[in-house]
Amino acid sequence: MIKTEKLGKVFRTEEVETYALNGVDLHVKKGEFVAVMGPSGCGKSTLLNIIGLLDNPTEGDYIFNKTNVSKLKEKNRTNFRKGNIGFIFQSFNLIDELSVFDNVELPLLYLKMKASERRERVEAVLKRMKIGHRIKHFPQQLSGGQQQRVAIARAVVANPKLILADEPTGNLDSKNGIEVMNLLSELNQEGATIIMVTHSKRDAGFAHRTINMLDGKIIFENGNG
Amino acid sequence: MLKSLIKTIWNHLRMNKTYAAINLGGLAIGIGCSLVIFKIIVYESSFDSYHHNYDNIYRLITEYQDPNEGIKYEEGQVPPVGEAIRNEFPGIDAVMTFYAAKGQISQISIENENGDIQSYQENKGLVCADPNIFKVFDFNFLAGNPSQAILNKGSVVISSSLAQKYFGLSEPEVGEAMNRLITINNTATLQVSGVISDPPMNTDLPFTIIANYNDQIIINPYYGGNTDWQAGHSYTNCYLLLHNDKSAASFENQLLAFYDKYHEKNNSQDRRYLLQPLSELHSGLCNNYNNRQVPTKNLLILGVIGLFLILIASINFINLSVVQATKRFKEIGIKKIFGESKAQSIVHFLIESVFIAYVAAFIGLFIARFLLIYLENIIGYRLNLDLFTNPGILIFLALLAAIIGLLSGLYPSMIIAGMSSNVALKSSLAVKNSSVPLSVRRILIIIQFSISIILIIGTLVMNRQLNYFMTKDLGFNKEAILLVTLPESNKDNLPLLKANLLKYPEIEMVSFGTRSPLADWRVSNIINHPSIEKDIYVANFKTADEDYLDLYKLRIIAGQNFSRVKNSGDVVVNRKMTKLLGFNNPQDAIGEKFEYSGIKLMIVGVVEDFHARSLQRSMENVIFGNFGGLINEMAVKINPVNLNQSGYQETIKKVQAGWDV
Repeated sequence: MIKTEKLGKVFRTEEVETYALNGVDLHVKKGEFVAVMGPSGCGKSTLLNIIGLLDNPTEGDYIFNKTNVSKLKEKNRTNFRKGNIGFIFQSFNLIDELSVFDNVELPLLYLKMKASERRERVEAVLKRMKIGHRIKHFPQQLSGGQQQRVAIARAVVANPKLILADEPTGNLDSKNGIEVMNLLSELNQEGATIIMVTHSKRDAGFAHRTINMLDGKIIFENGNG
Repeated sequence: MLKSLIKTIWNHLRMNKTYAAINLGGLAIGIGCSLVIFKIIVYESSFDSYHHNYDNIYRLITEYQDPNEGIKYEEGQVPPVGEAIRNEFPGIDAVMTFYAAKGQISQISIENENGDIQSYQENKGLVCADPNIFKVFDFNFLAGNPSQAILNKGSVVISSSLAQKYFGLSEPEVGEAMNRLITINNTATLQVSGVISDPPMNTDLPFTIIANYNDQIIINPYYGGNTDWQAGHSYTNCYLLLHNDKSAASFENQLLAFYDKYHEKNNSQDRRYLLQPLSELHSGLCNNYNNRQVPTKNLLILGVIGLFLILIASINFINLSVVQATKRFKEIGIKKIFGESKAQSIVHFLIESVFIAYVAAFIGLFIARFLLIYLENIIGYRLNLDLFTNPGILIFLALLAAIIGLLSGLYPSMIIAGMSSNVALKSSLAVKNSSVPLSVRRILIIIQFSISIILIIGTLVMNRQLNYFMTKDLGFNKEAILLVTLPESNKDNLPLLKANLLKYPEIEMVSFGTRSPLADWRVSNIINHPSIEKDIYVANFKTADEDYLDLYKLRIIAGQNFSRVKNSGDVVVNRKMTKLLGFNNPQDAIGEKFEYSGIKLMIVGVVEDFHARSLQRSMENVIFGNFGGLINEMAVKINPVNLNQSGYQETIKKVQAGWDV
């Protein structure tokens, strides 16, 4: 499903060139759950941004479902993301001014779906995330665990082919963290492909395999059985 | 999509109440105040523009050389000037002269069916005019024929309100006032020959009782007929209606020879006629009947203040919006990640800021509405927004709000939309990235502060000026004095009134005169004396009784007060006048004789100089004398020590009671 070849990302300023990614070859199959680990600054988030089409690589190729998307313009990347990729962030990144329902509905608005269908989908996914009773609440009125469940609902509401999670449990206590990881596992078992950046070995344990990075390169990967 | 956007805007405002209050409130106040200023400017510029001949009507004014103050202008004319112009220049569409006494109170008496007399006092609106008044100006006749109405002496046209008041009619019945009789100042009884609609607010000629020019005796006891080329009076004004193809400038040239022909004493080198367009009656040279002018310069200043206000409010709005926008990088970033395009981001931001600007404009409308009510006491008239009868305001507001909204939204939206989504997300944690908007914001803040400082300095200067006006020693006492305008009727009972009022312990003194020492209304004529050039200098003559100088604490520096005997020819002058006559020591001027408008007068006393006109003007030559006529005002000096708790109001009631007796 995802294939990168010699993927590189260089950040240039007038004085220095920094390689955030340097010749990354990664292959993720459909339905796989992959964890990416490594110390801060090793390039994990940059890799996730490029895979999520939030940024373009400066070198190499990125093939998503047999399409080379490494040189897409911003507008095309936005169009490509819609409905294909769902995002989950460490700090949840919910919009404070919108209710739980409106936050989760957001990705569907850009898919030009009918209002009735949107409502149906949002309610279903929120029920599934066991947050259906908080549909009219605003993010500040929820606990961290509840907020992340809303964020996951938002990530999956459009049935994306790929879910990208950037330290999804980083701001949660262990009980809530495990709940979130169980949810991701369930989604994966139902067919979603997941790539997750994490510092937590426990979280990585939920994935099929773990990729370890250092200085913009994949140094080794290991399967989780 | 739009619903989601509106939800976001609404919730955003709801969750940031302080920001919303400052931003919306600031802009709303700015818009409200500017709207009020806009309304005032439009109103003040609209005076008399409803006359369909507006562009072709001119007032005849005189330009002359004043030895002290340079070129001056005078609106007053001699009674026969209109007819003479009509005879000399047959090509003029219409010429009309009127006599209308500013601030003069008239007594109107109506005899009802039972023979009872009902009296009314009118302090405004009475004019004696040439019948052409209805040809030159627009009056809406509800009854009667404009071309016949005041063709002859003895007829009068009155306004609808007065017809209702005098004859107890309802509005649709005002026509029944026709042919009924009204007596003016107990001098003449006139027959109603027309009823007109009440004059609109925006006229400087708000006439409600219009009589024939030759019935002038009812308000002008000194009217000597329509042939006197010497008796110029500021209340006699002459208006001309020029034909479309006639230029005012070329006609002014034709009037040079006309001036020389009819004025023997002054030739057109020193004095000449000018034609003042009707559009300048409210703002330009010379005063008008309404006695209220607003110079164009003042309207311009007001306009600039209005612009400043709206500019400050807009910059404040833009600045706060930009600051707020930087807090919304996260929101924009998230929306972008989930599929919002650059164009959508821009449009959303613009819709939001325009929407907020419109909300502010809407609130501004309410602020303006309440300000206009509150300001009535200060500006002296009530303006309405008239949104539906005058859609110009709505269009103006709609455009203003759109421009402010677009300006305040465009800038942050361009910056935010230009960011890639992950940068926008990261920027929510590090706002300092946006160094470019900050520099523009700095410029905006500098502009905002500069304008604020200019306005603050302006306010301080104005405050000092007002303070100066309020506290400046005018050279006479103006404290604790009540002024009562006297109607133009029998003055024989004035001594009795005085005696009655002086019985009250809180009334210290009473004096009758033309006007107080400092007054717009003045009688000025030529003075002659062997020591000065002939027919050049003028003096302001104030008729007063013997208590006047004492009441106003005008300090006698030589000689004594003038005689108790009326028309004795004894006068008191001010120091400036003795200097003009060549006496450096005021004492030396005592006993000196001079001529005022052909009348021989003798100086018996000299008072110290005082301000007889606006502080902007230099001191005048002033003469005080006891001449009986032209008694228009009563001054009542109160002794505050003897006032009871209800203060002046109680005393005013006593004065009123004294008058009624």
